[in-house]
Amino acid sequence: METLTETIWFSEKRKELMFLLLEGAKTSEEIENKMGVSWRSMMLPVKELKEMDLLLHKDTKYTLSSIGRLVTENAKPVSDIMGILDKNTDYWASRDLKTIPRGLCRKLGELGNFSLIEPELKDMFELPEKYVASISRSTHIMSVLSFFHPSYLSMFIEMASKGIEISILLTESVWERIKEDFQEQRDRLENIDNAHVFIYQHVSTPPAIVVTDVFLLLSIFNKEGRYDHRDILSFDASAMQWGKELFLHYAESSMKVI
Amino acid sequence: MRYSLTNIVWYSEKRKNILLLLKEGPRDIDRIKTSLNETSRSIMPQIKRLLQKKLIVQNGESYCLSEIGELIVDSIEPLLDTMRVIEENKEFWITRDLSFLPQHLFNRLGELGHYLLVEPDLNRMFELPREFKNNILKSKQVSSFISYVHPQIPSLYIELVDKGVHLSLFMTKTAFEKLKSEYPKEMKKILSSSGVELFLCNENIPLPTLAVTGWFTYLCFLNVEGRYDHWDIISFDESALLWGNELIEHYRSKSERIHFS
Repeated sequence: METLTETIWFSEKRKELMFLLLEGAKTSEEIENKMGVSWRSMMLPVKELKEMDLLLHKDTKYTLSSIGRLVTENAKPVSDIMGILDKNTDYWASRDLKTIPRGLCRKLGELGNFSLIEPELKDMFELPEKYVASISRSTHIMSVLSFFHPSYLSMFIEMASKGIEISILLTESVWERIKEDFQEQRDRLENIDNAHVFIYQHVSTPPAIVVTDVFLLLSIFNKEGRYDHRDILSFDASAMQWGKELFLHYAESSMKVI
Repeated sequence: MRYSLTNIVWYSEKRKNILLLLKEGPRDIDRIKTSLNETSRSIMPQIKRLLQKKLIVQNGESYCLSEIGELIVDSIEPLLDTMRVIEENKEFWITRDLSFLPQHLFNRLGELGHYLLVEPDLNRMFELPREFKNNILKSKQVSSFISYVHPQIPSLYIELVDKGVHLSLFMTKTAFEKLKSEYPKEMKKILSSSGVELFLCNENIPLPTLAVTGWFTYLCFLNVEGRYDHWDIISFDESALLWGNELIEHYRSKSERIHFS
């Protein structure tokens, strides 16, 4: 092995070991358990990483050297984002990612272990099942509604009336629709202290987001600018954090109306 | 067979270079060949793979990055920079004490970019390195952090003050006490100048010297044994200036401004 590129990417075991040690120093038993392999099969990767000065063996524990940590910290997000894009290449290739700020796009790996929900034709207008079950367990909700779905609105109102803190960000056109056809719901929102409504002041259409302390549901439009009923659902803490950052990004260019 | 992105991006130097080239903008096949010094025969199979993986798209004669292609290039660049910074002088980096750096700036050491390693010159061990001295005297604005006192530092500061350079001096209390007691006359002159700000850092940070000017960043690290072995770094890259300024800002938040009347 000569280069760092080879060291990191040419062996799954070396790479996974480096990522594992980002969490902190580990004994050989801990490495065996965490990686689900025998120590015997880790001896070569360990030796190779040591020879590349990326790994140190101190007392009974293995730990990344400082340059090992430096390289691994930079390789981890790359591996994560590649994992995400590999999982559903066609889905990601057809998304309009321009509306998501660059910094967050780069951290797409934080969506973690998500599932891509593609409803059958007959269920096209139902809310995803897992999502409905999860929202009732949430203690706060942030949502960007960039297309109108009557069930979302009534569900949010129901949740808000139970005292759950909820912030809804609407595009101008969704807001117009609500004012026109759902005056009653609008009035109800107005009367709930813990419900806040913002109007997005920008011409572009952001993806639809529902993020709570339990899950993230994300609907990114396709390149034609249409919602094609494919949603991302993730229960990973890093995904929820990512979703909140995205919500706050849009909230920055919004006006509070309720 | 479906190839993973790891395979596509890292298993072929050519494919990686095509992606990096297209980051600069769309290119037709002839320009790609010339830039990468390849033939059609050697490059076309790689272009095909990238098209299949949807990392690049073809518009008539020219190729450009797709959105996910851009995303991939964006995300691999910091890693490539980091690896290059390390691989250019691996021995140096292995033996540095980097533990004092705040996490986010440690992770971004790749931003030092195309730096030069200034080697110790045994005959001039007690002078400031020429690379440092010559360049700093051409600056209009200097921010520096020091935790150790080089004997030529006071006279350098005076020279800068005389030239009207704006100086933001950050130092540890120990360094300040030493300067005050050993160079009282010089310090009085420096600190009474209008273009000088002084900040004392509450912590003892094992960073001998950091200097950031409008056009270069200069760094002296300790080695892992806690000694200064006169190996320094200078970088003229824009990204290194941003990095250096962030480190200065980090120390500003740990320092107290001292006013002199």
